[in-house]
Amino acid sequence: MKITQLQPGWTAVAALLAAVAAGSSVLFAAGADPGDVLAAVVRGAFGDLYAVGETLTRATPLLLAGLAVALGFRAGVLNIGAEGQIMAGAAAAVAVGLHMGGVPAPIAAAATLAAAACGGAAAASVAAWLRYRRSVPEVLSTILLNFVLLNLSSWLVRGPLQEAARAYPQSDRIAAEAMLPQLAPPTRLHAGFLLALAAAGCCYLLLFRTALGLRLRAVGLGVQAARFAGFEPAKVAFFATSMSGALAGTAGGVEVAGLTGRLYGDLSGGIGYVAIAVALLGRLHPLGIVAAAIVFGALESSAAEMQRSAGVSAAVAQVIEATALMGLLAADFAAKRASRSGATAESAAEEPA
Amino acid sequence: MRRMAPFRFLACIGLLLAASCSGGSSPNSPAKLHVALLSPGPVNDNGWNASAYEGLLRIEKELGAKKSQQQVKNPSEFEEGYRSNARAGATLIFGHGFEFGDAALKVGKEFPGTKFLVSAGAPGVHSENVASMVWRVEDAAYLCGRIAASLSKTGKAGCVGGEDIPPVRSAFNAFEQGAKLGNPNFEVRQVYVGNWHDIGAARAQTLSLIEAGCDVLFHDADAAGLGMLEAAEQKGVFAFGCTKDQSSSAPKAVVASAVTDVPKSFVEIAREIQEGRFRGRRIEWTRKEGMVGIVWNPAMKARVPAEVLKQVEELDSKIASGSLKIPYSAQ
Repeated sequence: MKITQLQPGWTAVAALLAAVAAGSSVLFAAGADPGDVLAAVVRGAFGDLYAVGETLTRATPLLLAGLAVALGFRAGVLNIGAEGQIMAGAAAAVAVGLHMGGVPAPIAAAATLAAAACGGAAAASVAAWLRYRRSVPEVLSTILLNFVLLNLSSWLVRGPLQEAARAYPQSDRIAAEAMLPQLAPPTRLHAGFLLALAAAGCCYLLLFRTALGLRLRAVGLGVQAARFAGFEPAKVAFFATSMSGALAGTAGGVEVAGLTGRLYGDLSGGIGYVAIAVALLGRLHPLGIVAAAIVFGALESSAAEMQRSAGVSAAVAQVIEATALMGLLAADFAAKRASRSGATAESAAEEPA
Repeated sequence: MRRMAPFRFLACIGLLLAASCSGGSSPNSPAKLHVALLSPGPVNDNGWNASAYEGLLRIEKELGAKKSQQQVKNPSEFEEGYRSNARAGATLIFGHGFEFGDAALKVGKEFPGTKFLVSAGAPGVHSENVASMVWRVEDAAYLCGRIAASLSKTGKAGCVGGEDIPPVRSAFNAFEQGAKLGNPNFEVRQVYVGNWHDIGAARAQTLSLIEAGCDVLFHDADAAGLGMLEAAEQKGVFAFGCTKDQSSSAPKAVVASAVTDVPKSFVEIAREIQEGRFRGRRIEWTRKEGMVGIVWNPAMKARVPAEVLKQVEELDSKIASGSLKIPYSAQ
């Protein structure tokens, strides 16, 4: 089964419900009070304006990185290196953002985010080059590059990008001019969320309303067919990989410019891996990914509230995320089997007649 | 239909949003002590986070406080962790690590009625309602160094640190200073794992220290320090534990441990707040308050020469009385 030929529609919702059911049974098995937990989930994710802001804040990098994964997958490029590309983007954003003092705010922020996109794209291009010049499968190269990039950023905050005081493994704060505007204080929601929504819109237009998008999807569906149709699969896939890296890099950039203001060695914190689940749950469709990112943002936000008020471990949210992904794959598999055996039965019925 | 699926999905989310927005926020109850802990890692790590959690449990038991705990995954969550707990009515919030400093100062301004604590915070991280606290491991590391000098045959010791940060460097420098009291030519090497959890890396670095002639070892590497203890036990060299009494982790290697009583310090802060005498400041917990000290491994104590034992006791009582001060030096 090709990852680009996922069954759409009901399977995503079914998988999510299965995951919530599985997650709840884990919770209740652990002895949590169901009422407390449910109240905490709702309050934590959508309880008031603050909670909604928190959900959307957490959804922001997931949305950008989810789009990154989806854009790659659509073109048949299995980029699972978003985690490392996020760090590359964050590091580039900090390297540029530090020197933006005195530059007009919109330009400073734009330059910082552009640096992030370039950082991510550069990181992904390494994998693309290995794939199309040296035939190294990108599944391998991107996951291996994750380790390289994570360790590289961990070195940066102890070396060239370490704070001037040279005390802690973190960078100095980027210039205030480079920080993204806050949308709804006191929530942490920042302009990066709007940027992520716009990116989803652009991805939608690119994939479904342009010739380039058609080529990209054609390459994803079948390299041979695309070649016969006159497309150059390698060029298209190279473009998709770099774009994918640019989106992941931007996810790192908005985390820095919208939230932390500094580079830390563990800034990405697994966002790049959760993004794979987000992309698949969103059926590799930009609008589906907006929804999936908000669901996962809500899940993380309510996980924090569950910890605070119901004493539930942080691991439970991860269990739910993992179950959602596995449920999704299982549902896809089942749907595929059902449609295939249905088709066989039909043709068998037609034959005698 | 293929195209429609995501829209349906979005509609579901919209409904969920609309349905749940009606809930109210939590009430504020300043009368009762409500203590929250933000831990940078899981509280079952048998080290840094576990000791903070133990402190939280003791505050709950001894002072009748309401408790809540939250593990933060990455730096973008620090601020949110403080703010959400403050909004939920917490009167005291511990951020267990230097990295919480920025967030504590920022959120501290938004919630003047809530007290914010930063463990191992950098100098300057305090305000009206924000305090940072450090444990002066130096007081115990100095004594460990003195003992180490009497046990070493090669005149060389190795120190394995987690992150290369000022408090760790300072502890190792105190260890070296203590060792030089016994042997002015004593040499101390410092290596850093780069994190607090990679036992394998700590073990490998320790083996290369032993290879280089270090026959006494000390660490300040939290969970990763277990790798140092393993290597010491295996190679039959002396070692000193850190943070907790680690005699049981390497019974044939550990001579003594430089311990810090993190739980007791947590209770002390909570008590200050309950009794209304808290003020934002940089707090240094030392041997004097009984928050730092050495704990011997009874099975290994006999290996230390009697005159050294006597000197260590004298030094310890001088440090405890305050007449001997071990300097903070992160050079």
